[in-house]
Amino acid sequence: MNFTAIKDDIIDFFISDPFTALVNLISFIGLIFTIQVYLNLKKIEKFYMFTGRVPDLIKTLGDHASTLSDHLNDFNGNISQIELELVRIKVPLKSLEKKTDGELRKSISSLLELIGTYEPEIKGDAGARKIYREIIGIQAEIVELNKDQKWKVS
Amino acid sequence: MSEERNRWIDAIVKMIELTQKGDMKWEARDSTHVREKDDDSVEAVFYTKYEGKSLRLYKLVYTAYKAVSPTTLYDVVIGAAQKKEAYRTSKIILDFVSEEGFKLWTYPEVNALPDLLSAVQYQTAGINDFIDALLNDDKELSKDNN
Repeated sequence: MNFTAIKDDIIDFFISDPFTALVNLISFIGLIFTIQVYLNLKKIEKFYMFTGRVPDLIKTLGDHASTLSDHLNDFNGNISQIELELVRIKVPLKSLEKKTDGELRKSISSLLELIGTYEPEIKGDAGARKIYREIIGIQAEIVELNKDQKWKVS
Repeated sequence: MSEERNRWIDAIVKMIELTQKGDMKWEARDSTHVREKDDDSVEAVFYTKYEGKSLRLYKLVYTAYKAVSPTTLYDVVIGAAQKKEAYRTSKIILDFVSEEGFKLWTYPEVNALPDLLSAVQYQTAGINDFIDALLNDDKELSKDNN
């Protein structure tokens, strides 16, 4: 039995008589609706997850950025605290990475990579300041996005 | 994010760096003249001059109002929908000022402004000098004991 024969058998089964054809068509439309509902539910879940959870994460991220900035008042005296703060910053960033998409998600991933490869002895205070700048940028971007979301109708 | 907003953030981040490295020197002054309303509260105002421009930075605590949603039919009937509730809030303000101290322009609200204020407070309070002096005293004391 070749491929064409199998294909013909399947088509025959679906349209063998008008009633079967109608039932199959309705089932197919039902399947499309089910997929559509599932996708919409996912969209709604993401929307509520974003508007509900993100403000807290933004605040946590902002607090860590401020602490990092404070430590930069005396970089050489605070190297170990800076390293510790960068570890803490990763937590809300990873959570935000999961809740975002597109360009914003890429920016968060790049920032996580920047933090992961940061070595105070090599990159010095300039490297830490770059990280601080990126955090502030991402924070501002998410705040704006969150404001837009409140007006969005799913 | 818009390019313009990025520039505002970059400028504040640069100011934080200049302040922390001591290349931008700030001084604290009396705050009475920046209060516009009686219930405005300002602790200290910090001034600096950079590239021929005078800047003024301070935290303003003020009363803001928010609309209160009506909770009962009675509230709706008596017009409680128009009611506003007062609450205290604060914002960090960075002004460009003239030589005479008149406000020329206010910098847009940027999320890094509180960190700039914190860096300025750290500098004007002379925390690094204080800690250095304290630790040097400690070293000299241990030398004397030896």
